[in-house]
Amino acid sequence: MQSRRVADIDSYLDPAAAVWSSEAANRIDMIPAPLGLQPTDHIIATWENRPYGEAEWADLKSVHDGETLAVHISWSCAKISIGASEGFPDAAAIAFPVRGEPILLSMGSSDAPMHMLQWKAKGNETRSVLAEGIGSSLPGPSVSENGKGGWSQGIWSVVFSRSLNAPENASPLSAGMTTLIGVAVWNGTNEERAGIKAVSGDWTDFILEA
Amino acid sequence: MSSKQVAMVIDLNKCIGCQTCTVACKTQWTNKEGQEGMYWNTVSTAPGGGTPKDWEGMGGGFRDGKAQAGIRPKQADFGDAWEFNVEDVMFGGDPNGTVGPMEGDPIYGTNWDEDVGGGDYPNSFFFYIPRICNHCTKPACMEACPRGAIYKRDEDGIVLINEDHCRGFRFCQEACPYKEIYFNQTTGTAQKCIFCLPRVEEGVATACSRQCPGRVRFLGFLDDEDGPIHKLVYKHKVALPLHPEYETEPNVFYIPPLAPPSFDDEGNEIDESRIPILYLISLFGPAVHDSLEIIKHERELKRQGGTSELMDVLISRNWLDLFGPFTTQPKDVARTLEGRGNA
Amino acid sequence: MPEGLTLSRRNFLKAGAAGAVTLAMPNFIAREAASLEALAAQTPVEYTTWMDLYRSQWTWDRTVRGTHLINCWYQAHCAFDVYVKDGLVFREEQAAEYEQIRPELPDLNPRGCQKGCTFSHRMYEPSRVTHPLKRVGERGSGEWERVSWDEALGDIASNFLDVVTEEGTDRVIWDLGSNINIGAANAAQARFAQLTHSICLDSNSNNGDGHRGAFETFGNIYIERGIEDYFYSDLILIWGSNPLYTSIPNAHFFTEARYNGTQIVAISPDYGASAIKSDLWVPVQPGTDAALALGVAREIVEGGHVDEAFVREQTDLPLLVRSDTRKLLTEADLDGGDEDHFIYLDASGEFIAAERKTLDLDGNEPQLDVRRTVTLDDGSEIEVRSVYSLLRDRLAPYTAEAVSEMCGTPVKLVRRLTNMIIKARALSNVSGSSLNKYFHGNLTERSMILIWVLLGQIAKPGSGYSAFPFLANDGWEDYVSGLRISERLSFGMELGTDLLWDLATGETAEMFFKKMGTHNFNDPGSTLPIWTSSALFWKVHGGQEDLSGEADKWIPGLQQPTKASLHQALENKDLPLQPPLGDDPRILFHYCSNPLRAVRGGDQILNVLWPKLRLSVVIDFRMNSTGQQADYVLPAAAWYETTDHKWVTPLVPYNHVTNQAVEPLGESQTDFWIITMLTKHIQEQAKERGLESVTSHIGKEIKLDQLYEDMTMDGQFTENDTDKAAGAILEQSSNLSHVSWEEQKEKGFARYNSLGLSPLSIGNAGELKADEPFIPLTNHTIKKHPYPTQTRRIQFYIDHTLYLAHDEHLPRYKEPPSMGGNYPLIMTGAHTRWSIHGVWRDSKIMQRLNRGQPYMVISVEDAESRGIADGDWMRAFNDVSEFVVRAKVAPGVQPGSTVMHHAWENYQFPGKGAPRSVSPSPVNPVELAGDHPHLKVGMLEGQPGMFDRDTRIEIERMTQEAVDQLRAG
Repeated sequence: MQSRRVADIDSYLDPAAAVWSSEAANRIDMIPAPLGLQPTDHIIATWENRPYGEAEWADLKSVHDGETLAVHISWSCAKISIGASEGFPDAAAIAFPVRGEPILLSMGSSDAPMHMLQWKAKGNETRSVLAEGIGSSLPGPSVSENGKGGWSQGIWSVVFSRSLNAPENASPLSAGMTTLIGVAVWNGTNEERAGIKAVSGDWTDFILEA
Repeated sequence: MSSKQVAMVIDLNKCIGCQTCTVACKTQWTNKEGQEGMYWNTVSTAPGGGTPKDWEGMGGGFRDGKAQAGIRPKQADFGDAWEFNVEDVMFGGDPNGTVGPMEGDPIYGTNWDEDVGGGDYPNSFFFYIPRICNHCTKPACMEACPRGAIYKRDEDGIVLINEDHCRGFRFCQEACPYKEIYFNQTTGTAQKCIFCLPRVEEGVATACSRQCPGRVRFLGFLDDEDGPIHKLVYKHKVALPLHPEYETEPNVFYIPPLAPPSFDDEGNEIDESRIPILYLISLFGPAVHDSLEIIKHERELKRQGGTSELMDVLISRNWLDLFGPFTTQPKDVARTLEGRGNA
Repeated sequence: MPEGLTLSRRNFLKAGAAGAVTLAMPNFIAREAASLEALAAQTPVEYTTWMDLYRSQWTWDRTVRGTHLINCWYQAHCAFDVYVKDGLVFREEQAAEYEQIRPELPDLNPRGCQKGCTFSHRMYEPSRVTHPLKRVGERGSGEWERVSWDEALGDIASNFLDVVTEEGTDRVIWDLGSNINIGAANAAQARFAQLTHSICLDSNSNNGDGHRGAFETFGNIYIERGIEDYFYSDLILIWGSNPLYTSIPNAHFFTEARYNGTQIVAISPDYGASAIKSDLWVPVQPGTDAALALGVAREIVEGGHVDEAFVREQTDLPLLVRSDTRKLLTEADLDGGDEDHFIYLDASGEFIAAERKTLDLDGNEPQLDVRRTVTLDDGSEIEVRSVYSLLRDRLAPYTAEAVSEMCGTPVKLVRRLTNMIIKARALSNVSGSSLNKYFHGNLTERSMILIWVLLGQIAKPGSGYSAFPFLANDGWEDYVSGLRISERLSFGMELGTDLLWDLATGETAEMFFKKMGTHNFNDPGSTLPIWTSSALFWKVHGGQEDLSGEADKWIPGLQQPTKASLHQALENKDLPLQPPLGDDPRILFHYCSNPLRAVRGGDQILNVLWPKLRLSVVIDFRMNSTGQQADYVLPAAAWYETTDHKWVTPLVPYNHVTNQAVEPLGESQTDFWIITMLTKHIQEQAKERGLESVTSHIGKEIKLDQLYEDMTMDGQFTENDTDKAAGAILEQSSNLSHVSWEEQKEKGFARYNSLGLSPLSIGNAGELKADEPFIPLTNHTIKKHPYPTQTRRIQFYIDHTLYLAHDEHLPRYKEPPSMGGNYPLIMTGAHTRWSIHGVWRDSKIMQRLNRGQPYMVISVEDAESRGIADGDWMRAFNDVSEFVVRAKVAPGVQPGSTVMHHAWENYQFPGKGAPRSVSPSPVNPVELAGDHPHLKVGMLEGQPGMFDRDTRIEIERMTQEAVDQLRAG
């Protein structure tokens, strides 16, 4: 997919902004994160007979202005969960490789880490995360990350934004560059969190218009 | 498995259900925002709902070595932390009001079933059972955490949740078969008994142990043959883990409860103890039978004027003998972090 | 250590960084803390690991030794370290430094309970009063104005002067609650009362803790052992008590004694907290314990198990009773000798007047079983019988089968219990004050004591009957007398001449000092504060007698209406009451007391007494049911905000000290300050009015214009000298001056070295040694000192007219009257685990550990038959009143009975009623026998009690909607 270059990136930071409707959507097929890759026996035992990761698709759109990247993701979620009190929030994440050739489903490795932005419906919290394998995620470097989400009629729409410039351990991005993007979404109502999620089975090419 | 393992024996014959341990822990560790409904130490009346309610049906732990699915307890299962309309009624606003929980009439609390128990009058029965995190040799919580945020200290076997690493996923709450882990909504982390690590690392007994007026709790290392733990668990074989079938190998052990006999309408004795042995076996495993027999036998020895090391240990005439190596008095430790030097 | 520990702190640390003041504490409390400004200015600590945050929770600025100046009675007291950080107390932990008195006995550590361990939180709860409050709306309107101390004390002083000049000094009343510490706090109160001849209420009678049966039998209720002594018991009877609730710091001695081979039997209607620690639980129907005791006594007699040597020497059982008058036979009857010399028949066949100066029989051997004729001084011949002979007949009906019928106890359990008791090498009981609260509780206690006495199980290691515990310093009286402390060498020495005279006439020091206690009530010349029975006060001045009068119809065998009996006793001055009937009280100081919660049937006193009051002044650290109806609420320092000490009991004979850990919160002040400053205001206003003095109701000149000088002993103890006064009291004490005040403050406790001379302690009549548990009554059994009774012996036969008229001259069983009407359930009561009096009753931390609302425990059977489920709301009612409460259904509760734990505040019940509302608590006529030689009113004893345990009720389920409506008003 392509991230189109625009001039007024600020008008794209709201997922409901009209400008997004003219951007082409790239539909990504989603699958439940494989049970066998779940990091602990307990998680496997709990979820082996329980459905999860049932979001079948995610639609991705993206623009940038040479300095800031915005990624719009929407997916189907019948019941909203903002993670009030003890609930788990709906959430979404986008991932880019930092270096090497990380395997998306196993969350990278120390040789080939991946960098993610994760947004949670609880307070629109958006975090920069560095992963070097399953269960390893640590706070990632600051990339001026931001996220904003909105839910309407069974569809979540979230806009992630970050600076293209990246410090060490964040995925380097620049206009004209081709990289990879991966996606995950969590259904809070189904108590999905950590590796219990729907995920794009593999990377998708991601081209930043020059 | 750690190099050394600290352990606790709780004597149910000495526990008086006063909850001083509960409040000792509460005022020491869980008195901040987000921890209102959190009790790292509880005392429940058994049989009864316990804390959280009906926790024994919530799964987790291992069976034949395989991790088991579990239910995550919610705050309502533990009992909500009620707030009261005292100010309104006391100082104006609502002088004729009724002081009570502002959230409405409660339906459960951490000690809701206090002194209720089971059986039929006059052969009803109950006893108190204090619980903390068992600091298991095979902690199900530690196995369950996808973050590796739970660890077992090599030097003493204390199981801790690294709250910097914890992301609040709460698989640990599901996996712990004893449901001893709470979720702090303010910090977004799981929290549980830390075996009073800041005290223990300075040689001071845990708050629940040291503050226990019933002198119920013994502390020490499992392999210290001179300490009370080794004597009660291994030498005299009277201290038993709770629900050994959960396979986490708890390091908190219990002296099972005696009780007065049950009787029929004429006063003929029915059972020597009114607590059904099958109920006790369901809690402590089949070893509970021998444990009780040993205790009764040794007690009878004392009654006949004999001596009994077991009874002497259980009595612990010198209070500090309860605590193995953890006999430092709090006033003798540094009062600042800096002063402790190991912060 | 795993990865991640060095990462940034996140919310977790942010939430914790503000330190101790983020504890769950209301903002207004935090605002009051003196040092908070300094705290705000300080930089939050930087924590480097998450564990350091926990470590930081175990840091503090300083600790001081503290305790709680509250009457938790059987379990008093406990030395704590009080932890201070940033100007606030944030936790406490037991000091636990008591030394073992003998290697074979468990030590006392750690001593404390869940209430004590959370007082640091309790003192900062929203019910805390931080400023003087003056009522501005109607009474009870909840409309308060913050006023200055000058305004509050000035107005109270003005009212005080009006009242004492217009109506009399006895119109000013001090209702004494938990702050009777016999230290500085209530020394100020008592000295004020003494100097002004205002009246102090003895709250023990209102509490129903009078232990009348012990008083009738021993002439004294203060009988208690050292707690370690249970370790020497062979058999402990937990009977009428629930030490698992009420003696938390002591309870380990019972569980540990069991491991040492001791057996425990619990006797109670319900299978409750203490019963679970027993080797045999014996259920009885509520109020039938006397029958069970008499059944045991019968078997002791019939089975030949009586310790004859003991009862010959120590008791009235050999004394003879005239069959014609049913009075004890006296020397006067026989040969015109003394009327107070009583007669036994010696083995030699001679009639001998029992010695009054000693129990030593000097070789005589009184016969026990006597029935014969005797020729009187006037030549007439009558039959006389020994008390033993009468008693044996009296006991005859109490066969195991009959007892089983009366008590509902299976007959084989009656026999099993009896055998255990008879075989016991050392028999003890665990005292409580529950059975006193039955209408016939005196009979129950007399019947129980009979067991111990017949078996000679008195005053030996592990053996003996405990009644009521009290142990106090004896320097306090010196402080509170109207004199300068320097003018009084000691309480005893001043009265030395009298004392010698008394000893010469056969009275012991015990009798002498106990008599001093009665002077507080009776003697107008006394230099002691004037006391009056609280129960009498509330009955007569509070109108409670009208309510209880309605209960007459439920009491079989009454000779005349109880109100008439009561007034007759007042008229005859058998019972002293101040102010007398007809003189209305005008100023009522509630000194950490809470009568609107505590007085049985007490709805009445708000309606009857309050309209008579010019001022109701509450002095307390917290708002309570009485505070809600007060005119002034004066904020007292909490127990970690003052330096003082507190009386204890022989169970744990250590004086306990609290040190001021922090400044009093807000504008609160120590009791000592408040009352001393009141004298200053009174003096200033008296001078302004040109008023020098008034004459008190008993004729003493009350010097109003120098009250402050008298109060402070000319500046020796000013309002700021709480600490100094507390120390002076101990230095003046014979039993606590052996350890310096400074040392006691540092350590937090000191062991008494003797009982001392206080009327509240001396009746224990034994030697308090450093290396053995205290054993009471050895002065009688070993030194052969006579008992302070009519016969100078342990006395089971009371030949007072009232006792004879009610057939209570000897112990017997009487069915509990159906108080409140013909209702199917008997509402028994008990102390709660969760509060001492009302002080912790609405504590959040405690509430969260029970059910957050008042509940009544009911049986499964009674719940099912009424369609009531656990947690349901219920209406409990009888002919007297009603209240609303939630149900707790427990299989341990005896069907036909309910358990209502005490001390809920009125405002915790939806609607108007509370459990005390349904308890009319009538006078038991035999308690009016204040003219009997040893049943005179004294300190905490000899006063009519309050009874709520016989209360009959019915319960019915209430819908949630109905309760919500009730609460909505």
